[in-house]
Amino acid sequence: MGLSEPSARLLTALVEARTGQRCDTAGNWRVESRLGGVMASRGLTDMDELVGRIVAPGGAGLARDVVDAVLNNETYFFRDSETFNHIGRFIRHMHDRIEPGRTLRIWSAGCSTGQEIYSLALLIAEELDGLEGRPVELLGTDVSTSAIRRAERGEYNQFEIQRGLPVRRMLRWFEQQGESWRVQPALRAMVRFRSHNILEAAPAGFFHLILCRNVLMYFPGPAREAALARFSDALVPEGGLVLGAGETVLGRSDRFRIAEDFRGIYEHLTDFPPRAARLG
Amino acid sequence: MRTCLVVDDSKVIRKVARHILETLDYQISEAGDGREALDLLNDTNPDVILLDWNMPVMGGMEFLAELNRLDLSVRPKVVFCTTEHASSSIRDALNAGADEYIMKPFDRETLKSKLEIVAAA
Repeated sequence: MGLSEPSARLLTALVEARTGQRCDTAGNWRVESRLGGVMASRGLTDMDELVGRIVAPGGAGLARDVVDAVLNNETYFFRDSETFNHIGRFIRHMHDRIEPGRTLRIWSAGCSTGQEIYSLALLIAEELDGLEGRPVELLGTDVSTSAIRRAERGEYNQFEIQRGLPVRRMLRWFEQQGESWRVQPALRAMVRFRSHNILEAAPAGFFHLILCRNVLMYFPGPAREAALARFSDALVPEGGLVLGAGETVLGRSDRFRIAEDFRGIYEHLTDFPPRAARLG
Repeated sequence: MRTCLVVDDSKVIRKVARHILETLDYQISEAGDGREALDLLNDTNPDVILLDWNMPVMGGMEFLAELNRLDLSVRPKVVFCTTEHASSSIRDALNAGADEYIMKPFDRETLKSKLEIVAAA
């Protein structure tokens, strides 16, 4: 049985309160389909009953699972492959600009199940020759704890592994384990993950590149502006910000401009130095 | 409009592939085995061939060998689309000249993604 309107409203409010994201749950068959999995795991057959249990005493664990299920975790390897070409060039550009030996830091905010950050790791390992031994820190964060657990494991089913990943790269960087494919240890070692809400303070330190693609579109205007301000605070001057193909900073932040030589990347303006950060 | 030759002995798979490919603006032709596909090549001149592995009369690997022998001005990209999932099978297909590989069952996103990869190569 589907969601009644009052239950849908309650779910929408719950997701927004927990994550800041505005997700329309009413009549959303994808959401209902994902909630079906949570219901089955708890032996429930009625969606309204599921929502009722969330608000009942002791429903916190269930609420977390439901929020995870409602969030759109869709992602795939090398999403918008043309953008990845520019990201690769931008990483090389940053590598050439910062002091030798200094760690190059990249943050994938809203990394879902990890395909984006593993694509970056693969790009650095394969196309950028590991940046000639420069230390690289790749951080993936997501508000969904179950997505982060999956990202850490780095294991993908047949549908996930085939989306966006050329087969030769799949064979080189993934191990077949029965019906699934797991990221090789060498690539996993390049990446770390943690649970994090974009509306909270950014992870410590400064980043040279932040990716937050197809995430801000789920946030209402003021939350988008707050998130962009936090990204600005976390970026080195002239660092890069990558949003989704249909997303923009225009009208939401004056701390970025379109990077002329790197399509799809916003350059962090030096007129807004984040605290005492210097390039490098 | 790009063109795709779907080579599969399963009518159901051909129908599913056709349905997806039409939404991706492909013009489609179909063959039920490798021999039929070879006969169709001159007329259809496809950009991409979606190729099953196990088929009667002529299977995918044999078709690929025949295709490699042809003197074509532009060789179509070959995407194997098969239930053979073992990494050894995938390597064999690539070594035989396949450009990409899809493990069945597949969905629209998978097929779209693989077609984009071969189109960009």
